Amino acid sequence: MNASLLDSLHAILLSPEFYILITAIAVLIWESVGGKERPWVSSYLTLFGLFVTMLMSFGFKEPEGITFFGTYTHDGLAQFMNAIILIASVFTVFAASHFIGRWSKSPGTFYVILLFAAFGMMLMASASELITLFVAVETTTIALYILTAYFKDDRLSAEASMKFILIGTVFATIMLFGMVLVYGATGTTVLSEITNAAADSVFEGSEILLLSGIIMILVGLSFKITAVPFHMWAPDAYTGAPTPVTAFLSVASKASGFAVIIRLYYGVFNQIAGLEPFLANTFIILAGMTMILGNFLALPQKNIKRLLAYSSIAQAGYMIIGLAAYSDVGISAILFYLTQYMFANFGIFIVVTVVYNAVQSDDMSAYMGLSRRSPFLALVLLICLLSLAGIPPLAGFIGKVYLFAAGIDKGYYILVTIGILTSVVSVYYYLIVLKKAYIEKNADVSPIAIPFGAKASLWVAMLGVILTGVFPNFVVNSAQVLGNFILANLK
Amino acid sequence: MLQQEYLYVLIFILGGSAMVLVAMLASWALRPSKPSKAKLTPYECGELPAQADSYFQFNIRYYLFALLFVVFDVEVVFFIPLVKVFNSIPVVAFIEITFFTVVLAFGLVYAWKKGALEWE
Amino acid sequence: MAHALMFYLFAALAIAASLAVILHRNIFKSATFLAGMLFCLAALFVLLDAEFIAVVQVLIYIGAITILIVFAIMLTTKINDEHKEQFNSQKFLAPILALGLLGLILTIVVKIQWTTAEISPVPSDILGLIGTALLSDFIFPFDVVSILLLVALIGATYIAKQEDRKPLVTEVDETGEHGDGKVKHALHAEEVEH
Repeated sequence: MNASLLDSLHAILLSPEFYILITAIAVLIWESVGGKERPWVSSYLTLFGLFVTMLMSFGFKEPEGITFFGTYTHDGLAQFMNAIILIASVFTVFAASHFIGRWSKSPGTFYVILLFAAFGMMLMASASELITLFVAVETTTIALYILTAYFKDDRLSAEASMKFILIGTVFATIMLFGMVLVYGATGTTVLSEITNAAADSVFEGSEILLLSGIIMILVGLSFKITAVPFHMWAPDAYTGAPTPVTAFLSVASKASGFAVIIRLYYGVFNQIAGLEPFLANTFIILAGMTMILGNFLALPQKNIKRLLAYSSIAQAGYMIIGLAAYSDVGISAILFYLTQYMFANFGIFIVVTVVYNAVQSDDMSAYMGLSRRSPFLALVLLICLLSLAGIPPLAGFIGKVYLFAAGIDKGYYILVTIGILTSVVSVYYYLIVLKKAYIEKNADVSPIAIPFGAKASLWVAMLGVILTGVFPNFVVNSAQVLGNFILANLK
Repeated sequence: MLQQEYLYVLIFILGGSAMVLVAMLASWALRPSKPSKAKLTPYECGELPAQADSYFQFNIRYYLFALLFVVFDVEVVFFIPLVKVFNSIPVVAFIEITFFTVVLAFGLVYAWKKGALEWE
Repeated sequence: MAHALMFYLFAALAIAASLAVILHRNIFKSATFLAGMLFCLAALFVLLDAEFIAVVQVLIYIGAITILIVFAIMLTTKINDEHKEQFNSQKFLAPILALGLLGLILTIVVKIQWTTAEISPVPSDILGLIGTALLSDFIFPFDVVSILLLVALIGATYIAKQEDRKPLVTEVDETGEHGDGKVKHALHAEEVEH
């Protein structure tokens, strides 16, 4: 065994991915041995493992920056995305503990698959080689297919997973084909070498091979971040999936997708001569379409999960502005936006699980009179929805200002105008939900019980939204530092 | 060239098909043709098969076994190149094969304990 | 010459077989054609001196994936009904999209100046090279593949297992529109027992 392999092994044994893998296998063993009698142990074991991983990931520094022959890089970008994915997983466990356990007969397996999904996402954020990236993406999506179909006897859940699998497979194929073309044009799969190889221009006509490959990879990744026109799976998959999975999909899956796009776009694709204006224009068009379609299609929705699905498509549109900007401000704006979006989204989705447990409906009418039945739930809904809409002084406002500033910096005035106008549209459909919760009356005024885990995570989500909004400096500063660092490092 | 070895495969395939074809053509040329209704029934003893669709729903357990088979099939395929170089890099190859097997063994234990391998 | 002839023969067979896969009305026979198509691809790999890939193609795709597909067909009731509508409303859009993709690939092929520099001979020990690559440069993704297979294994076990169904959602379709009512009743009875 040679020295570099030993170094790599040493690094990987300390990495957050390794800890989450150990947790996943521990929960899997518990599931196999004693899970049937005491399924709650699985959720505690999962939480414990997630917290340990979080602690380890903040202290983790690998020796040389790149390990395993350039296939694995754990830099600031990966560290930040790992934090988002881990916190999102913790929220999902809290949301699932009172939801999956109630509606499924074998809740334990949920946590195993959830951990494997988180593992795959973290690997996506750290993969710096195309084959590793593809394997990580596939690990993630296969786990997500299973999570989406977790209520396997529920027709909606099965249908959602079916659509997700079919469309996901098509996009995975496109992405793989793109990777093959990039390999054909450059002769390497390691990201850091692709730039150099592309500059050398191995043979005449390799540019078009490379360009087609890059477009196909970006199409495959746009599927993950639900950018229009590659969003068609999202509304059905989000509506049919068990609600904690919907929340996980809309936050963690998107975060890992953005991590990969940032790494590829900032680190590789933009370094290739002559590609920058083309890619920037592509992202501008994607951002514009995503914001417009997401927001306008959310207007007529009657099902809260479907509305949130379109809202999450729209939110991705705002974040793509940061990609189009191609600057350190752009990166830090995306990172800040993801942070606050995670808190707000999980706040809303946990409210949705609690309400579903009480009335067995995701219909908007279920929210009538919520402020009387449970003032706390209605308050969380109010704060999180207003934050998503971008009302000051909540975190969503700062996030949008930050993203729009990144766009203005580059002179994308039309795009930013579209962003502001669609935000106004979004206020309308968020207010419809709030109107149901606060103004309309419901014959049923029985109070809704909130389980402890849900209550704790709702407090965290709500305080997260308020605090990052009122005191944005801490997150903004670290996002700024990270943005500078990531841009300098990837370049 | 490498593909020359596959010429034998091709000749084998062609020869095999030719034999079948020749046999069938010969019997077609030699036999008398006197069709009758009784000869067209599935069983010439006159018994009619049950009037049901021959495609019926299988037990889903077959599928589970097939899936388990595919996973381990893929595992074996990955092992073939490792075995080829086992003599030159034995330590790493051994660790890798062990890791791969152990990880999948966890899955097998899960499937086993969940009763996926039991027929009932 | 013979080499090129074999290539065109197998390529044409592969195209014909894949057309048969989508156009044949009997889905079971489509699956058989799929196996034939995959076999033609294996032959093409042999012609390209990629023997290992050819063996993998036969072992995994023909030996396992096609079997899975056939099983899936046999698991599904009424899927063999040849009178069912074979295409849906996308039947005009889909070929346009497919032709567009073909156009893209053809553009790539035409635009590239395929260098005719002497091709380095294929190393004799491809299998050994793959093994070495798997144990050095690509050792990390190779390990992750085992996790990928584990996830697939767990997921398949969870999804395909019948015992843990919750009885309250099983709706028995009395109209018989979605399949054999009797089979569903039997399933339902089994679940109640558990």
